[in-house]
Amino acid sequence: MRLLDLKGRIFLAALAVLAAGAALLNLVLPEGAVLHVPNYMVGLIGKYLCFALLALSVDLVWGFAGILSLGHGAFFALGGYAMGMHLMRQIGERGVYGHPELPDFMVFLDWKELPWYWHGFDSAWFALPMCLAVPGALAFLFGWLTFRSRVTGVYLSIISQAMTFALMLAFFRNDMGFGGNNGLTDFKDLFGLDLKDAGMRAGLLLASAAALAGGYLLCRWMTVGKFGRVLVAVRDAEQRTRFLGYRPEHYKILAFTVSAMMAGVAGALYVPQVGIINPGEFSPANSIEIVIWVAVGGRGTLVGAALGAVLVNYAKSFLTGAAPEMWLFVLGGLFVAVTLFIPRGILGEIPGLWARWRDGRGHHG
Amino acid sequence: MAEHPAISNAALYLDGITVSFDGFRALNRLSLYLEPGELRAVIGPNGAGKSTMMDVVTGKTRPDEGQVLLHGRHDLTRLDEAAIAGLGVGRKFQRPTVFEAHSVFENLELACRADRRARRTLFARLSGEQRERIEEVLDLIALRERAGDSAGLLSHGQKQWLEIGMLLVQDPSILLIDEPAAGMTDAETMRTARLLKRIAGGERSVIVVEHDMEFVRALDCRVTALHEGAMLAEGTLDAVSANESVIEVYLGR
Repeated sequence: MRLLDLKGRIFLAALAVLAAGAALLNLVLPEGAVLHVPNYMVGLIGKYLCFALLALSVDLVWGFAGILSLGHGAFFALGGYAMGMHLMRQIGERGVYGHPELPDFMVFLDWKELPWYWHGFDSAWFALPMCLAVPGALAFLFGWLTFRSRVTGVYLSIISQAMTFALMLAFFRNDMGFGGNNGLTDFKDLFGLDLKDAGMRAGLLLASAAALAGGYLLCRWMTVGKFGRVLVAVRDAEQRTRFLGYRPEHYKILAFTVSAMMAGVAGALYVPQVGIINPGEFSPANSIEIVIWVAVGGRGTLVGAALGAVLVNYAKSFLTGAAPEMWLFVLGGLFVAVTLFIPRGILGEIPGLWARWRDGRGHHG
Repeated sequence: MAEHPAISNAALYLDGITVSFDGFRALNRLSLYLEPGELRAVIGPNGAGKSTMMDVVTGKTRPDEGQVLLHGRHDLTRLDEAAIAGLGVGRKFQRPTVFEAHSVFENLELACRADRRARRTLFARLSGEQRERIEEVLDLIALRERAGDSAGLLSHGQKQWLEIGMLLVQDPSILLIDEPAAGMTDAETMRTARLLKRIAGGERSVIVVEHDMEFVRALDCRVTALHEGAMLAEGTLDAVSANESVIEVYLGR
């Protein structure tokens, strides 16, 4: 199979048009013009693209390797925290307390000096690699401990959920040094540019689109070749691959680690666009929601996962505005409906529908 | 012990293997000797230890006692499944397990001899030599016409052949085959027997575990009868069938 099939090309073209179009119509047209894209919309699209990248990362491990991770929100949040720490250090003396060295929440807790693990985050050269390295290291450790012990299926899902839950509890504690339940916020600028500036917002949107495109190509590259076929073989008949001489745990650890790093990038791009990161991002419900996006869009289709993330989040933005108390019911109902009626998800069902339509035409002609 | 010429010449030598599960002795000091190029049928009633024997040879189960020598050199009881497969021991399961989402060709590709490590596989390309080997095996298992179809669409018998083909592309020196004729039509059964007879020989030994006596007769090879984890009788099918204790176990007195 080729790296870019028709579906992939349409996806990348649509992504480029959406991101570049929104950025241009926001920057070039004056406010009040009919086609002007308002600032909030730029941020919203950027946020959706981060979620789409997160969904891709889950699809890589769930759709291809059969690892149902219910803890991928943790990798997203860790990437977000690494970026958040950098943004906190960028505030410098401009905090409410005007402390030259410490972020506001540390001054408030009466801390005297910066904890050791905050050192280095003032430099983007250190902080940005950390957005990948921290989630990647945790995923490697997690995979090393579980996949090598041949933990699979529902047990693995539960352990992954326990992992994100434990991290949530830890990050809620003030003495962890990550701002407790308030998390990290009041960010001012990134690379010396104001985060509220329209150009900066458009730049973050374009960066998110580029990361999504890059993530998609990476996932395609990993799945169209022999490596991807081994992953699918592990998903469908793990024991058989062992007797063929493969070590499935190595394939799983590699895919899981790459996936966690993608989720970390998504989190790192998400935080400057929404302006806050707090321990709520570690909540198990978040991780379950990601799995629903992928199930809706089509597990194992990559493009479907990204599409599912955007569709479900668009519905969420709309409904939480119109009828906030309904959202969880709608989400649960959606999951049940997809499982019952379109088990392969939106994009997973299209080839079958297309074939039926073609056959139907054949009979008439 | 490994110095004994007969043992170091053996393709596979099981020496006093004992396996217990919660006090139940699945294998009881079982010894078995397989020559290079030999085709061997292993028969026995349910629970005789046939599958456990295969589990021990392929590294799925570690025996409590005894050792398994491959070509008189490697003690397989110290290795894991992947390492044993790497030494050229292939296993076919009772239920056909092929990768249903992949095409017949891709199934054979995954089984082909190649570097199995994850990072190497990321950059793997199918060589011309591997492609030729796959084509050869496709002919042998009579699935050339189905090469592009997904394996999930094959008939039960064809899946069994594909799985045998997946072992063959690896050029294994020992093949363990668990009840290949189960669920096959008579014609498929006879065809499978012919296939197995063609596969064994030269440097390649084959052990077939089977219930179907017609099929064992068609294999026309040395037969080992197991009972309660130990060897009951060994010899030609006629000799084994005439053995008093075999008749007792099979028919009951």
